Amino acid sequence: MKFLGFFLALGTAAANPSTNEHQAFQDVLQRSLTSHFEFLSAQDEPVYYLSYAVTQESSLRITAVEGLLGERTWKNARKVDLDLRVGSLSLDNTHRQQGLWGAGEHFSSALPLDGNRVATERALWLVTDDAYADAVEQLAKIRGANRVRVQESDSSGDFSLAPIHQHQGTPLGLELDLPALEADLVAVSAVFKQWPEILESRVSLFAENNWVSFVSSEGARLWTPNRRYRIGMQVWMRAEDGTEIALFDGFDALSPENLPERSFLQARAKALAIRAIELEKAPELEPFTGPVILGGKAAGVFFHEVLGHRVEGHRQKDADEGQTFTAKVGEQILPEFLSVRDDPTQSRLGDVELVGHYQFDDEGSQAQGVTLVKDGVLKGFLLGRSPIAGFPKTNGHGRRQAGKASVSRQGNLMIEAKNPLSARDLRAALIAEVRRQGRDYGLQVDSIQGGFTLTGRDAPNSFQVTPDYAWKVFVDGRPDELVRGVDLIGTPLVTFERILAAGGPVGVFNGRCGAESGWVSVSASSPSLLLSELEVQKKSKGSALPLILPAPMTGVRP
Amino acid sequence: MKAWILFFGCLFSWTAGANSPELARVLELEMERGLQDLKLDGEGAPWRIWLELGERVSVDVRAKFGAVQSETVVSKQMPARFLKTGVRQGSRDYDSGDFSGGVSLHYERLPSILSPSFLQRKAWMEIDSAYKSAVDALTNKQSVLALEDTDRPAIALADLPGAFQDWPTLPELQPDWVREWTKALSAVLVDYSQLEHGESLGNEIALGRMSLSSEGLRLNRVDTEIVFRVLAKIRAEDGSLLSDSRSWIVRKRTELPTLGEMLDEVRSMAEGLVESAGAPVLEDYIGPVLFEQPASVEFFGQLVLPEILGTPPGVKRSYGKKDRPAQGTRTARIGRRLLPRGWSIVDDAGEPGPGHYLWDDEGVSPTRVVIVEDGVLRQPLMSRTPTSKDSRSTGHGLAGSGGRKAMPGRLRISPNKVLSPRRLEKRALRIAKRMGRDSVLVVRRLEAMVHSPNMSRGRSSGETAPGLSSPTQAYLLYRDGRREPVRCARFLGVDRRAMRDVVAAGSVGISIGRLDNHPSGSRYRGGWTYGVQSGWETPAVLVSELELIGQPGGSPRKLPRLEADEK
Repeated sequence: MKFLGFFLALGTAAANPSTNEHQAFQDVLQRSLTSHFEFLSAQDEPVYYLSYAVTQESSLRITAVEGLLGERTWKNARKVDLDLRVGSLSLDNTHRQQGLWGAGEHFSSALPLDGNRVATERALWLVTDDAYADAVEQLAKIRGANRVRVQESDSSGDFSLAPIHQHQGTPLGLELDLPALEADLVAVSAVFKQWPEILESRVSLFAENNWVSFVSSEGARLWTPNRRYRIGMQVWMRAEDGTEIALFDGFDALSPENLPERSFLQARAKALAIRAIELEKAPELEPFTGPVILGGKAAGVFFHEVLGHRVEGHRQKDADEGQTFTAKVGEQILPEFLSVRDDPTQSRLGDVELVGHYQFDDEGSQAQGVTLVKDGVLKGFLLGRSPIAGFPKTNGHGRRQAGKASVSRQGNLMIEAKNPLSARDLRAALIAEVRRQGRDYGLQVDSIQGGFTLTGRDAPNSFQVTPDYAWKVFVDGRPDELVRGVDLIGTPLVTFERILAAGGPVGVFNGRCGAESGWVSVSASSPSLLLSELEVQKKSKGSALPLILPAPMTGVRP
Repeated sequence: MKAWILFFGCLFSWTAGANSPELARVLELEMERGLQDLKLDGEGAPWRIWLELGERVSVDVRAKFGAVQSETVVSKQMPARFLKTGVRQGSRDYDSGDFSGGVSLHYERLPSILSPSFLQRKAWMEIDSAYKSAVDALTNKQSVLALEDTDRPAIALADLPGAFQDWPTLPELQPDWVREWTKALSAVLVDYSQLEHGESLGNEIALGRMSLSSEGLRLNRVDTEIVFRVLAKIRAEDGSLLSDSRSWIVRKRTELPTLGEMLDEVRSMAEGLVESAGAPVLEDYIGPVLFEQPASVEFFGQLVLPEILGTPPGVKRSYGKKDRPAQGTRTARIGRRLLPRGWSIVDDAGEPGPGHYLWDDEGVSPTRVVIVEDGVLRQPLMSRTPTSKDSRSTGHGLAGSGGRKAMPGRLRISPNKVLSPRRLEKRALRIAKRMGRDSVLVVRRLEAMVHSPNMSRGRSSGETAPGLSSPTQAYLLYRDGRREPVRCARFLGVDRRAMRDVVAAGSVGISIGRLDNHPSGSRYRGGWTYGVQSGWETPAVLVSELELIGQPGGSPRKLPRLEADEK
């Protein structure tokens, strides 16, 4: 069973080395790689591919709580990930065996922060030797297992040839005025003190300034920086019925000049607090099936879970996977007015920067924009260097978190609609659909926490999208009513058939996606979608009693 | 209107350190409010509330072969702050405190910059939450153990400091010093090209705590700890991976040897490993074993520790069983022989040196305890968790939530008679000869359990001793004086009874710092720096008979090193 989560980013920052420094470090990597590959490729079970991907993670986290500076933490770590392959392109030690989670261990090792040559070389030597011993053992097991199993339905190989790139990116700095920034965060966090009913609140900055140095036995040599910022604010309350109310608002940027101003953040903090207070008093929605408008962000997450994870290439040849769309290339899977693509090369959509942007994936391949669905017809899949039937080449989507093995993953998923309706017309279409079905109300969902989906065969192939709240939209003209405790659930094929229309402004959800290869930054953008039917289930809720005593000083009973 | 005035009062509240009268005052206010008014329907208010406001600064550096792998500094300007809250429901005779299934202590992280109004609000929420946990725990306890079935009170009596004497501030730590020493300790290992692994760790911590309880405890203190550790590994030709380590665990920098002395020790360790890698595997051995002084600290640390701790286990619900809950106190061992006649164990944590402290985690000052007298266990170390109605804390509540489990401070294990090293060896050889052996096994170093690759040997599920770790440096001593190093030796079936088979001892060595955890938990799984610091002074000991086997394993490395690295 696979649990693929897509939650709000809790991102993270420091100075990159100079060009000379990173080239010198890359020379150290290259020297070990050349020597070890030369030796191991001459063994009885020869290595045919070896790469070292060194990730330097440098992050800064600052939190402010109720007008006080809560935390300032810098973190730095350097880690090497190996891709060592014995066998051949058609069958190697990474071959996925049915019933087993991954084919062997993924090898990675911590490296010294200062690039110390002796310590780096010793670590590379140790981890390469370990990886080789494991690879030989794994390949023997795989060959043995293949003798006693039926032939796999997709006989594609385990690795594909790809263009070799050499690229040296420009080092970046964090470029933050820390004292001013901390003062901003403290001032924004003080906004929440106006509402003593709010039990806890926090405003945080996460900034990360990472880089990856990649060398391979094929001759690839890449150095790529990766900088990202996020300001997030969270509030927690507890309703009388024990329900925990947690609301989050976040702002992502790829460059510091795009971080929002203090006054903007204060206004958003105020709006968040007021919404939390409203929500505490709002009724809980009973289970419901009916017409729903998913706002742009919610629709983006919906597509990320329902389609995006199911068109990741490695799932198409994994016999443990549900393979919802494997055999549907060329078939209509969505309404004709919808197209879907994933384009990590795009760093911005309108005013919003996209955190799923990257130049090279974690296998050293250049990122490419991929058309997944054109006018409702499935066209292709997201691919790393693991080929699948009919799709033998990477399209630059092999991604991972440092310390994990790469698989194909999403970057910037973009849902595009032909002739979209205006927001007003979409709402009118919702009301018309509600009326047609003889119901009193439909739902409008805008604010979203995230979601998850199950893609394996050993569990229902379902998804869940988790809104913060929803609005009941009535047919009789009553004002919309705020409701809480809502989770949207369903299964992919049925749900896609329920999409009636698209329109309104395009919303962008920036976040982090967790799957087999760890957590990666992604975005999902979409116009609002009208579905004729979506099922709503009750959200899990807490059971804690309200606080017994009134708050000190204010006497408020939250 | 009132709320508005107070709201502005909050907005302009000033910040303060963890130890200040203003912060103490707001904690007292919330404690009082809780004791008087915190009541659920059908329940009384809590009988005891304990609060601890802490601030911690630390430097943590890890290096391999002289290169820094990670460094974390929590500075005095932005310390890590926390509030611990313990609420007990019931009465002094019978309460929620010793029910193992509940959350006995609530921990809440606080902002680095703290204001009294913020703290008061947090204390209000934490006391509320802890009270509800305590009510839940008491209800659960009542369902498995009735008041009439217990013969001990909820908490042992103790003398507690009742007034804040001063408001100490945290010291400035020295990140540069910790980093440079940590780097140096593993940098010397670069000279030994045969080593696969050479890692060092440096850790300096200062912890300030302000503790208050409804029993009248009012205590401010700052504790410090410095840990340096080095771990090295080498692979023998047959593929066996051998490791050894050195630790320096002290309260103050002045208690450390010089860096030069520490580096000499690391070089000696590396040379020992290189020698061991070329040594033969120990053949199966039954006979006398001589533990030299560094090894004897581990020997006693692993075997004696569970025997001298007096904290009884908590009340547990045994799901699926109708058995009465565990109430054993292991008091039967008191008055029984633990060591040979004439031996003694004394704990005096008030003495300066490794393991020294002024107050335990429950706020009790440690007393000098004669634990073993003439080889017989007389007085186990006690926290405020009682074994009987007469129980008193000895001031050793150092482990578990809020220090409810006893752990040692500064232990001295003294023999009945001291033999010189030469006479000790002669005695060992005589015993070996009687057993038909021409050599005796001498263990110079035992694996420190925190470094054990096989943690299962160190895991104890109950209150019993988990066995003895493997020698990292050992040799066979022959009658003609030859010393032949051996490797890959593993003890079989060693337990506390081995201490009764101690037949001779050398002089008591210097105090060596250890980090350990209470055996009722995962005693040796605390990692590199976690655990309770204790100081141990032990003699070299000769045990008349132990069994060991030679157990090599592993695979040789295939990949050659880079030429420059080898040089």
